[in-house]
Amino acid sequence: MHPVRLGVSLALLVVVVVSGSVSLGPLPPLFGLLNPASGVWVAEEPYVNGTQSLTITQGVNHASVTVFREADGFVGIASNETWAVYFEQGYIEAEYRLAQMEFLLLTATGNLSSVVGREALSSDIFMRELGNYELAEQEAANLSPSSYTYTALSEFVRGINTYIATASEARMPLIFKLLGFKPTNWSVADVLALQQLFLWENTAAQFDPLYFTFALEKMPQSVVRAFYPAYPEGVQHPIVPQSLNPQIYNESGDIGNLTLYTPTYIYPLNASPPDPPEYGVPSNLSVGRGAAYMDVSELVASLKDFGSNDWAVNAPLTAGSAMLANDPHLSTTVPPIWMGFQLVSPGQNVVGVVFPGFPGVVLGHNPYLAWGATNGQIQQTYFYAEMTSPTHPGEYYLDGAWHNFSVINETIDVKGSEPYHLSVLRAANGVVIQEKPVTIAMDWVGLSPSYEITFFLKADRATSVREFQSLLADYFKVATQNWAVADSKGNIGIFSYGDYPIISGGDPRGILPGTGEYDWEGFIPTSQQPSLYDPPTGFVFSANQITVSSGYPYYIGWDYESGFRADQIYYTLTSTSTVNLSYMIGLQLNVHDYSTNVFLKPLLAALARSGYADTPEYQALSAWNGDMDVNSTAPTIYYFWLQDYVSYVFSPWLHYYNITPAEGLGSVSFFLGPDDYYHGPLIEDLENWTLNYTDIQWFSNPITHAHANASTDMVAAYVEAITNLTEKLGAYSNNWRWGDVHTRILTSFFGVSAMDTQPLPASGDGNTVNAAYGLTSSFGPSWRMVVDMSHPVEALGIYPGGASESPVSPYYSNTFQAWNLGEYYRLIPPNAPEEFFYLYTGGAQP
Amino acid sequence: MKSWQGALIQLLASTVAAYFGYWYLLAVPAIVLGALGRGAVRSTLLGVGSLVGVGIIIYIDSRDQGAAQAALLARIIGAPGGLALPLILTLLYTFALGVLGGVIGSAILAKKGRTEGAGSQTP
Repeated sequence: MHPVRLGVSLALLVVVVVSGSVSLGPLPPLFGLLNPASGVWVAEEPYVNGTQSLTITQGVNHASVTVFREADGFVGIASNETWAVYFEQGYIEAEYRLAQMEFLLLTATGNLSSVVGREALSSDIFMRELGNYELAEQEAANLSPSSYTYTALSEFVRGINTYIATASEARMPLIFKLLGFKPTNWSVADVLALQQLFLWENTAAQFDPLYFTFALEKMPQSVVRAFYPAYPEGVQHPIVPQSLNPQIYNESGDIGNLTLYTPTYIYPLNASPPDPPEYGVPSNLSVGRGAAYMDVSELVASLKDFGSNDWAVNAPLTAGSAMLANDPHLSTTVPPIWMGFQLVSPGQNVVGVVFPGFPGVVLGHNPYLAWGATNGQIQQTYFYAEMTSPTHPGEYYLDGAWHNFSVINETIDVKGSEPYHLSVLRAANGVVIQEKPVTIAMDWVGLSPSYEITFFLKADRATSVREFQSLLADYFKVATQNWAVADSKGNIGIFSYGDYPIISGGDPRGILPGTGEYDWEGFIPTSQQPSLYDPPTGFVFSANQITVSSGYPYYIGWDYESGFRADQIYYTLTSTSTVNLSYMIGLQLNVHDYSTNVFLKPLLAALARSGYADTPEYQALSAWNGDMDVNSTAPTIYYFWLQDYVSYVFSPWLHYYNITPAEGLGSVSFFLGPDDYYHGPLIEDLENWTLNYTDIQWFSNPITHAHANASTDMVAAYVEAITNLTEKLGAYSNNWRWGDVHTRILTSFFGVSAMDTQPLPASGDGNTVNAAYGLTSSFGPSWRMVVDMSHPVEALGIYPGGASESPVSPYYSNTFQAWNLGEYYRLIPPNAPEEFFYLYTGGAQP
Repeated sequence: MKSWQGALIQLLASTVAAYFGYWYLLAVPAIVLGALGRGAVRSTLLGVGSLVGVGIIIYIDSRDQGAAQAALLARIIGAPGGLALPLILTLLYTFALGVLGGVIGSAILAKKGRTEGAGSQTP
């Protein structure tokens, strides 16, 4: 024996073994991470195109299943048993999107901190306050085990769990390996918790009243009325105008009792402003132990709807058939927030997209019906300042008496820290989201059990617009959408159904006193909610614009999109006598910025008067048609000018009235938020004033007292834009082409920038129907579909990204380029097995 | 046992160990081989045997996007050179486990006065 050699080599071996067995900085132990059998060297289950036949057995039940994996991100599942379709859908979603599903579930249930650490705590706290999981458990308990919903959910969950049980550790997603995360079994309640997350993220306005309280308090009523009218002046094309459905305008509602320009509750301005919880999520979070690799705020933002389009047409614009187009604007991520499916079983053949973690199809069509959605922009969150007192600890004052807050104690596990203990307080009028300096409760229509998932499952099998409408009325209560629908009998409709709270007084645009007088007294009856069925115009449409005409008797919200996309759709559909599928596609891909129809002519006139007519920038603008094309320089000039124009006019006023960043300046649309979402009331004001009130006092600067009008402000904004562009891009040249400064990108769903795609030059902007918000756009049409219901089997669609969440898969982002170029795929490809044509063209029942 | 025989056995052992996910135990067969060789098996060759065995498994995985995933890991942690760093780290560990195992084994049972890999030169 050589004791010295033995001792030294043993010591070295210990060093090697220890260094491979402990976490090094942000990385998990290298022996696990680099393990040739299960670590980073083994990728996720590869996505392979083609047809697969299998038999699923559960007890004495057997089902034949055909799975048809397509290159375009769609998976067809056909079976002779409906339960088996949902089982297989759960299995396949888990097979290709497990990490995405798990992270959505962790977010929904307020458990993200247990995996990524303390930085996700504010998100978890808020999700616990919403009570997502408790609600989901109630919803699951309320379902009858024999109901269709329960069957679909339980089979779907069984499919997920079967995949988790049979998948090897080696095939787990890279993100799991980096975090040392192991998935556990899903339950029906887990899927319903995802529903709650989906509903919250698609609830419009959210915390807007907390911010708007400061406008109401700090600005004179006349300024609030001018800047933030409850109903905007100027050109509007409401979704349900009075002329097309006068019946819903005939009742008496609550709007006459409300005071929409003055605060009902005075928030103490010397105290710190309310701190809306969700947005406390920092931009850089940790993978492993501390390196800034992961932006988990992407997780909570990915479901959020920033703007969308849908429309449906029928006779007289068609020969009798009904057509539908839809493109919901969400974060464009990899993996995408959608996954495509065709689900075929006796009595059902539906194709479309679904959120991973959901069964069925959320947006799509079947042989009888096609449907799409845009966010209804309805206010479904109300905020109440609770009256509390040191002499009544743990109580709040309501309806003349003191009541105990109900308390739910929660514990949040936090990776790398002690568990966080939380007491969630609930009052009769909402959940407490802030205790100091003022106790504020948020009431949200989603705080009670609801069954939107039942709506989706039943809509997949619906056969007419009327049946769809009835399902909406029964099941879709929260996160109201504008549902455009077309059926094979030639009918169309649009329905903005949901729970619209009614109160008897006060100003719901700000915080309300929580003493009882301003609590919800009910909801607008469905018969009075906005809807259109087969209007004589031959079309229905929505683009997040204002829902109703000014005479509508109920208050339903006020912060809508500025309406340029809606204007474009309206004028495109009213400027033709015949619509076909090509026309629908042309409109869906349209990149004309309709705001140029309003602003460009006055801008050019003002510039010419100011002596700029000979400049090349002016020449480019004057020769331009308003299309945001990649090869043109004028869009670049116009884009920056328009932002500067809005800021130039309003920024001095917001500063003059001392609106601070903590109160929302620069972060919400009505306080000059970033250009991704400034398309709100301020730009509508400018549209109105530039056209109709060119000398209105708001063009002047309240701080410098410089008198101005529309022309002088337009020119000043132009000078600022040109100066900034010249600094950034050099003197005017082809380097100013829109495609050189404006790109689309698919960002990592997990916020890991190394997993982003490369950017592609992109046409369009936030005002175009084919929307591309921001300069490096990661928001836009997350799904495009056009359907002629006289030939639904030929329906077209595309979503950007691919079927697989594995960044090294060829099917991770393979549809991105085609989507950016405006290409579509046949949703039921001609080479699909025969059973996938069932109920369309006589295909055999599976 | 000759060095090449020991290396071959270590190669087979490391292939099997890596395939079943026990690559971090590669020192164990190396210790055994080092001890059985009683100093006649070069530890360096045991390291090479380990390295080749693990390399075979990595190569098989790499055809299924494993290498691309390792390169992605490097990008995520900000390491330049594509998959170089994960590959070097993996092989370095593998080699170190094989060599150190061999040295330990030979040190345990080697006859006094014999030096590793030079069995034929001692009386």
